[in-house]
Amino acid sequence: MNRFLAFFLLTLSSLSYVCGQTAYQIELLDINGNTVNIDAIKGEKFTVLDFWATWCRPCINSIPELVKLSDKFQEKGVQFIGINADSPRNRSKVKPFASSIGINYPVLLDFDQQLQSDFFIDGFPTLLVLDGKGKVLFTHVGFIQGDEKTIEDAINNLLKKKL
Amino acid sequence: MPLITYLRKSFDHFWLVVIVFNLSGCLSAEAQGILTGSNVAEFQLGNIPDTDPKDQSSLYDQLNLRYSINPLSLKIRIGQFYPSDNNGRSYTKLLQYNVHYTTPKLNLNVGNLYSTLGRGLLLRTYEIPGAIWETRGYRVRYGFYRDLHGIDIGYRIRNAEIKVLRGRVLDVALPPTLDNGIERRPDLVEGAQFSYQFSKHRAGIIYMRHNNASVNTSYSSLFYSGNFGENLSVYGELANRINTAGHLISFTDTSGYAAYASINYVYNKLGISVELKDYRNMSIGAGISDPPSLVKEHAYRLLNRVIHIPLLTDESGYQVELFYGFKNNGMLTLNNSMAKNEIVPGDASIFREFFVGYQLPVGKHISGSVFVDYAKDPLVNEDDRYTSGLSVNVNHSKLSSLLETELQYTKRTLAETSTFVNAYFAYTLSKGSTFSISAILELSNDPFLVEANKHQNYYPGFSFSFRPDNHNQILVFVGRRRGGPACNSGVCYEVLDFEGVEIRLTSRF
Repeated sequence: MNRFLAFFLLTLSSLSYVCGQTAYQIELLDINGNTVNIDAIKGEKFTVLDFWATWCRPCINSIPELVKLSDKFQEKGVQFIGINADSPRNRSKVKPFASSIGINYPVLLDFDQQLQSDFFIDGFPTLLVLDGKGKVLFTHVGFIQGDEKTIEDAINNLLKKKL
Repeated sequence: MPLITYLRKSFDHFWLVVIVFNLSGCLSAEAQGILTGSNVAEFQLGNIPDTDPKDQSSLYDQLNLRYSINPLSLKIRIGQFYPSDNNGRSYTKLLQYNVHYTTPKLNLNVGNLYSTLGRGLLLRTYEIPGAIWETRGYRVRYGFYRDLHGIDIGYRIRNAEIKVLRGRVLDVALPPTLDNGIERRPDLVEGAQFSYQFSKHRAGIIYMRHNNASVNTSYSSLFYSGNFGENLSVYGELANRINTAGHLISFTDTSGYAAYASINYVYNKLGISVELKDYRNMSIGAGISDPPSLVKEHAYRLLNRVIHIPLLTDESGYQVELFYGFKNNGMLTLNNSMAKNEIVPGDASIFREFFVGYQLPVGKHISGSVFVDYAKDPLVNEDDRYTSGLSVNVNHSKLSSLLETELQYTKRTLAETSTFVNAYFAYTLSKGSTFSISAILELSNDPFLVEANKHQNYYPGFSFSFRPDNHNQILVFVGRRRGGPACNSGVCYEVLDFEGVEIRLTSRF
């Protein structure tokens, strides 16, 4: 009984408090083989991390919309970064896929699942909006048509609060 | 192991500690760093179809906590499983801990960690996030991860990088309840990787020593990656088991080697990937090596179940994949892969697959995807396998509908030839990503699945998903779900059939 109670309390305690997440100075390879520090390419106001994979079907719908949002928000201090979650098994396909789908923002390779583990990513696509210190302010998991408006509204709201 | 043993002994009532840690960490977050975490809790009422008791219940929970204060972070994972009949299968354990220290030059990981040497020809440890695994033999539910318990140090100075690691790799097939007398980490690995970047090229060398109860073997590997202009990039790696005669490289029938090469070319919206493989006697330990499979990884339901799994004792072949992005955001994918297995000399079996898929938007309110796939896989006695699918998504004023259909026709020859059909239908009504309800029907007349007195198996089900906010999600499944192989990030594992009610609560905080 104690264990069932523990189980229940653990879940409750998990739900009750929203602490916010942080990114630290993590370095990953980009799709051209260069080592990149996320802090060096983060946005002036916010950074959007989009976790995706070449085999992820909703990602094919979400990425073109994120490219549009990236173009729209870049001048407002919001930097989009794609975090590819393919394993080394699919590494060869990442650059051709990214090029074909038209990603024009940096794409980093999370081979050893360091970022996925730090942000507890368990599905794709997952989009996080981080502040300048790396704290997660907004999370969006999955994508269906119309979600781009939700993401756009969330970024606009964060920008308004920033002013 | 002394540290984890000590932690386990100290955690007799660790759930209380965890709750206090969780709450106090949040309250003191601003002052001392930040505590974050995630929790996956899953309740099941039901069982494998036609298995008693039909009303078996179980609770599974995985809690991950991370406390970070730059440049240091600490992580722990606690797992719990309580089936209604217990029977020695329940557990509450500290399953992972990790200390990570990082600076621009140094990357230090201690504890349970994921790491790769090269492209994984010799070593890759990993996790399938969110996956809950259960085998028919043990009937214990736990997370699917193959981690390395030890230390991994990376150091970078100018253009040179060195990585050194040592640790024991978890055999994911053994559940956390097997503590007494069974070594869940049979493979000890010690390795070093050095690479040097010059302009747009990088070359490196790997040395790895593998030790378990029956072998003590050394491996070496050479790799190169390079970019030629903006459009062309190549990668090549040659890994080899150093034999008892001390030969660094050997290509005889009894030697162990793995050769992998890839070429990528991009031009505007066209992207091509060409890969070649030749693996021989490179299944290391309980499966610590994970070289590129060179097989199309499918997210479509029926295709995902039949992905070819490479045989590392002898497999050679290629994979070509082409992507083309249209101006309307449509995406065309073409794939051709071939794998040749010749375990017995002169008796080769050849796997082939051809795939064409197109994902397209039709105006503002309609999108869809269509695919056709043909394969033959003698290793699993499949002479011909044809699969096709269509999905259509329609946006209504406030809701959206998604209709998915997939059909698969297979001809299989064992003692005699049989043909069978698998089908998948699903209709989903969604409100953004906040709420969705789906009706699912799968059917199959595969003789391997259908009992003698039946013509076919039906798998009807309903699923419901609700995200009350950005941090929490509730998933409910009711009905009968078809199991079988499931592949994610190139790794395939077996999922059991299930009939009953399943409720999963995922939270991130």
